[in-house]
Amino acid sequence: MSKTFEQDNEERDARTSFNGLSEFDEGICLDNELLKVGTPDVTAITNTLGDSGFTETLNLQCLEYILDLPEKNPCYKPFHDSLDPLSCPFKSPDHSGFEEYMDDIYRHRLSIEVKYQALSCLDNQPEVTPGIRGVLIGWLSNLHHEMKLGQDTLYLAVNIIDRVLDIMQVARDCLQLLGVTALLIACKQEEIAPPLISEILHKCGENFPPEQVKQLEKIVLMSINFDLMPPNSQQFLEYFYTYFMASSVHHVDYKFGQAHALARCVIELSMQDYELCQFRPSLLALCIWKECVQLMGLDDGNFFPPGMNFFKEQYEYCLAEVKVFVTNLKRSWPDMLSMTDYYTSLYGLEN
Amino acid sequence: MSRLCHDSGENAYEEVAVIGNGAYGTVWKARDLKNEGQFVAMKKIRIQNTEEGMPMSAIREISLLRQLEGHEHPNIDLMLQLLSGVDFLHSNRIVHRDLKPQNILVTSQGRLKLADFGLARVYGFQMALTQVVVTLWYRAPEVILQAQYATPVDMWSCGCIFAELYIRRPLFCGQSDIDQLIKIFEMLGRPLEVDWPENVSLPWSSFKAFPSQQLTKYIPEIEPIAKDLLEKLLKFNPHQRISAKNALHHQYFRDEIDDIQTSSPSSVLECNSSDGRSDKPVSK
Repeated sequence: MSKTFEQDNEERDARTSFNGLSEFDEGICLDNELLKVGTPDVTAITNTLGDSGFTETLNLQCLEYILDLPEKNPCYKPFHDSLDPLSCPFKSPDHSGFEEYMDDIYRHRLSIEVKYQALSCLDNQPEVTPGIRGVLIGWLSNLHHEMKLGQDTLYLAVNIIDRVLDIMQVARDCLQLLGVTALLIACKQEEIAPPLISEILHKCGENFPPEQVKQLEKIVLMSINFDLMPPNSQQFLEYFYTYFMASSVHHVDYKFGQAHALARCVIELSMQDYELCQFRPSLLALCIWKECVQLMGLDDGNFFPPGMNFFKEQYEYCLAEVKVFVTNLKRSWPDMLSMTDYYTSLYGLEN
Repeated sequence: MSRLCHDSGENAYEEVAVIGNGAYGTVWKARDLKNEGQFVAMKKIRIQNTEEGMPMSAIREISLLRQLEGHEHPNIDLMLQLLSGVDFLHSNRIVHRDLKPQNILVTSQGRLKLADFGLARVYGFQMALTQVVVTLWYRAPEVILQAQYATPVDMWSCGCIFAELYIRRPLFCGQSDIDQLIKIFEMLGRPLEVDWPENVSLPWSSFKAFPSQQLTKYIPEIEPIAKDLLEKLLKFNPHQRISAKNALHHQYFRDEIDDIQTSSPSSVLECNSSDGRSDKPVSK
């Protein structure tokens, strides 16, 4: 994937004029000269995406690292070993030590999720299109998996990016710098041992001066008011799954575990899809769960989590969008189910 | 909770006097000029521009305060306030990890505020957390033993603080990790071997078989019902330790809660009177 971000010298001169588009005093492009050093060539990416090929390129981006995983990671366990019918995870890893508070946390997240959503965040971006945003998020997802960071870190980084895009105009060739900076902030908020700036820069094979990252870090933190605790769709999924497993005695089909893992995978990929990001995280999580259950040929008995409020039309619309997304996923990657191996043991707690 | 101010603060607050200095900054007594000059405690964090940019502790402390902004908790008595504060944190997925009297501010109206979220941690998917947390005297045994820990560590600290309200000095004043454990076991007795955490470097057998003592020997003033609560807070096994939510339902608070219910409505009571939920999706 990193090669799609490689420089294209022919395009560079044309793009320097995009810098400084921001209406803010401190625009997101800090120094035109410095930025020339290692900027991603998004123009080249757009070319590779083409018209209809977009979804396909998108999928392969995110899966690339994980598909190679068995060779890279000897501890990797095949799906069948890690999830037998008797060890279906009834506990949610997100709430270990917090079981009593699971409902409260869930309701709290429901009540604040809208506040953190950057709806239509690309409306005022002259250069960043949904496709380019998707490429950035896909690239970030790969980087995140390669660095073995927590899932919450990735979701937070994406949320930071969207909220920044919502309030300031960002030049295309500054996007990758924004991505790296958002990941750095997310790591500091979520990771036990956040990686060093130099490690992140090394991993992503870019040579931005660390000073730029640090300067942008300040701007980003101030612009989003240090609000770094947005609920994410995966957290809702984990609650739904735990609730579902605990509340239905007769569903012992181990395939629900597989549906859950598949949903984790789809939900992560859904972050690259701008349209899906317009839905509330809880609603999106529910629809992705429903779609994955159906995909596995299962019936969750009209399961409906408590506390959710939305119109039937919203639900149906979201479900339809999810179906389109998953259909595209399957088309470009028929072997999608093998992916669930990785997502089953995502948190190392369930086997 | 604390109000947050990073709009350069110059004209929003007027510094009156230094209250204390910490590793990360200074706490000032200050006047809130936008609110009729009322006194506030103001923490100024030094944010050095380090090699790694913004320090992680500063980012976490500020983001936590942001999240909690606008939530005020009414008071009944200090312990009830402390527990409802902790309950509130836990229901927000936050472990404070450094509860001690120095971090508990009481306003002139007797209102309690939790402070210093420098060590607080939002729970995520990863469970392994850093080992160095909480001032030694208020540190839960599982932390000293470097075993896995979670919200119960705050409850242990609450227990230590609860006892301190009676005896007016810290309950367990250990000089070292081992000494702290010995002080705990001298009072509470050596725990059962089955309760000893797995995979810790200190074996259970390395401690003498201290018999458990009556808490009244150390805290003569404590009434039986308070003693019962204290014992539940100071359970060695974190799984058996009472949670903040359940502690708020303890009989110790019952009278006060009844009083309050007849006098004035209180949001603490509202949010904690919702027991008997049958739809709890958790199997233990």
